Amino acid sequence: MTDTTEPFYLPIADEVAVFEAAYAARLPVLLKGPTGCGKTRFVEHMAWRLQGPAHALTTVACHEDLTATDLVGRYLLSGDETVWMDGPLTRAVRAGGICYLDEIVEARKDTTVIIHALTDHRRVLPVDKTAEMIEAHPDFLLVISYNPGYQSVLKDLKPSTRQRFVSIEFDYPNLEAEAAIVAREAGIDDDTAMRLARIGAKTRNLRDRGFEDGVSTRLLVYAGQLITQGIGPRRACEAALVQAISDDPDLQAAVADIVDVLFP
Amino acid sequence: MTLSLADVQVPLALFAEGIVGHPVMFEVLDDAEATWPWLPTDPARSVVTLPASLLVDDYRALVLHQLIALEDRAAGVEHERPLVPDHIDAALFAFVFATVEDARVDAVTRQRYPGAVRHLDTVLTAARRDLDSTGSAMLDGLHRYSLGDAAVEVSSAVREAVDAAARFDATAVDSHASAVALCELLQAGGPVAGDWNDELLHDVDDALALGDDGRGASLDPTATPTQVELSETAGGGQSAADMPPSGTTQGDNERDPIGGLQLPTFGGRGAGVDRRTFVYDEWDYRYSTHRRAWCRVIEEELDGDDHDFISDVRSRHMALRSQLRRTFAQLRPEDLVRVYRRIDGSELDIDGVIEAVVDRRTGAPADDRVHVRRDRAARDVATAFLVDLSASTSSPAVPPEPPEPLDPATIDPLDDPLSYAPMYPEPGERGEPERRVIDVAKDAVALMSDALHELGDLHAIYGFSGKGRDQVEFKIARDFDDRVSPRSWASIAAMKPLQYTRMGPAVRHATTKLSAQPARTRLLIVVSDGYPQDVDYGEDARDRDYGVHDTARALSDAADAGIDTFCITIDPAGHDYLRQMCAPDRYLVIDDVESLPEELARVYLRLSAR
Repeated sequence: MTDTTEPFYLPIADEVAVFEAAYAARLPVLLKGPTGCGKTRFVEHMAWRLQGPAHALTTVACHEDLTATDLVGRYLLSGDETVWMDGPLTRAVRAGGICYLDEIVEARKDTTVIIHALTDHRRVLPVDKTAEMIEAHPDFLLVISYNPGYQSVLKDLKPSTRQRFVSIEFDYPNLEAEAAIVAREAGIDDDTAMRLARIGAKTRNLRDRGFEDGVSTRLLVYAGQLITQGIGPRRACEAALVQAISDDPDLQAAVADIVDVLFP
Repeated sequence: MTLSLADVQVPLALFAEGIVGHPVMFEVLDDAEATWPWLPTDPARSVVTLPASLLVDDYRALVLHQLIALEDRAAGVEHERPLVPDHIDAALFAFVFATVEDARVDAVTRQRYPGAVRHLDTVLTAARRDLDSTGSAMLDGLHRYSLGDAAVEVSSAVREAVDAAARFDATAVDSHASAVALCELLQAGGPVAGDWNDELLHDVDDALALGDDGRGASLDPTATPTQVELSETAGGGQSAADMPPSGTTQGDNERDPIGGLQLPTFGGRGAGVDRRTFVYDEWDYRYSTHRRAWCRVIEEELDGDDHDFISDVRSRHMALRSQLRRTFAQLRPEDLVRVYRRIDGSELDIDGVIEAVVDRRTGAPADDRVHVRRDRAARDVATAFLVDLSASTSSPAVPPEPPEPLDPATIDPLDDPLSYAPMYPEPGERGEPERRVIDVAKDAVALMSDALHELGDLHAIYGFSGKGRDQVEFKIARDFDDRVSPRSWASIAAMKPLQYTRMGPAVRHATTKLSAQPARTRLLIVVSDGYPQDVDYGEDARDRDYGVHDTARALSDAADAGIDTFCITIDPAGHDYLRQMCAPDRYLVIDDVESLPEELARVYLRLSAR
């Protein structure tokens, strides 16, 4: 991936310094936090920052049918022969760069095992199908994320996996920071951005009333982008926020009210 | 067109909580005619006072108006109670201060919540229309001006004083200063003393002197905002004392009579300890908060000696049983299954590969679906059946009118196919008690248990009843890890009607037990025969809503914990409260008790196949 511009990220605390230190020591990093609070953007930003515009960032969104094979690679038919095809993780291990496994706990259990050897001092990826032990490139770094909020007890990270990572915790930014992010990302004026940020903060007050994560910064940016495209603010929030957070009609009504009273 | 508070209360409470960041309680004014701005909000109480019905859309403006103080408090801005300067008449000051302060809060609302301005204007217009005269032209002018009537004739001094406070960046201190200035102006002008409404003054004095019936006085239908304000202030917030603010001292005091709930003890099952206690919160819908550690659930294993029970059940429901066995046999579990000929997967499908290679060599288009994938297709279900053991389940299951007695002598056996069947004596004839609701419920869960055992699905059977919040009985007829034995069937047979139906804590305890099961699909099926009720389920035992809300909360918490819930009730009138407690596809009302076993099986099949 080659970005010409640095991905925008507004640091909230010392996460940039911690990540830089972890990268310098090649320690794997675990990002914890609710959905849409900027974990993925943070990784993109750090990849750019640490490895420059020509950085190689591999992002894998994990889902519940993602197997080790999907990460490591498989044989494919090509002409008359089967050829080995590296998976995204293997490619990153060989070439160097940051490999980011998003929502790792969603993946099947066998995936967490293959990253064990990569995440301790050995830094190797065993590929049993090709009988290879791939030594990680010096610039390789594994980053995983997970959202402790909505994962069930069954889908928790095992301590043996969790303890291999440097953990950085994320949460939604404070009002001013969030307004700045929304203004910048959605290209809207500061006033509207502040209103959206306020909606975010108010609806997060209802977090334990039925939606685990509240309105994410990402959703606020979406709403802002809809507004930029000429949709009325209330309709934009209805589409981007109210419908997205919950199916409960009461909650939707409450959030719609909050939106309604905050916009002129 | 009017809007009833009851219809909008839930989203309105969520809205209020969203705005201020903590639960807010609604108090209902029984006086529908009371005028703006109702009662001032005491920030310490998190209570919003609203009339029971209103014109459409006005509620939000009322709530917001009262929330401003709560919001400021949440942000660390405290409003102090104004001190009345000695040289100013206290009643006059209270009136003027309330007027100015309302104007200020309106200004804050306009700035902070521009979207609410339209509704606020509607409310203010109505308030101006319904305004009671104080008898003083100057006071009335002040009042009207503070309610946004820019055209009213008032002196520029009054205008300036109100405008000075009615700014979004002003505080209660500014309102106080303005009120002092206005009062001095009014008293200096002299018209106040002789002129203004005696009745109003009288009421105000009453309110100030009052120590007893603070709320009653404030709800006088002709009450103006002043009176309301004063009685509230002077009465020392009596209404607040009546109800515990969420999770604070009052709640603790109320908990004392029990002498402190015991800490949960976790004794080993079958290790000589057969009673274990657990403590659960209870949901109080009126305060939108949990009462912490409110209920004690006493868990006990049932022990029975009716070893014929299961064979009786099997013979009674022979047809249903064989039908269940057939249906359930089709659900037999298979573990991870290999799915062949997939476009990708963890292994190569050798047959597929060979075919593809052959196709390629012969020039035919090759099918590149040559992988084997291992997919989950296993049944991985754990179910808890929670059976209501309240006293009402001892009512007869069969409708009272007896069936037409059959006289064998008058029936030609050749005409009656039933006569070929073995003749069982009617229960009544054997001198047995007639079949009760509980007997049918026991049959139903026993049949399910029988069928599920063959299917291999994990399941447990619990009963619940109790009397009072410190004695919720939770009976284990069969637990998840129990083995099937004559003893386990006898335990089911030992379920019998007990006392009341405190459903919430039972659901919570069943949820806890289910959550410990590692199954992918977890079901909680509640079989009951009436309203959740208990001697102290809610402050008013007749308040059925409390139990319904608590149970609804327990069920939705279970859903949040990843448990599918379902309520079956044997209560022809049950429809109303179940609709409040469960999602439409999550409950079933049975009026024919005897159909319970069949319906239960149907529900189980539907839920477990999701």
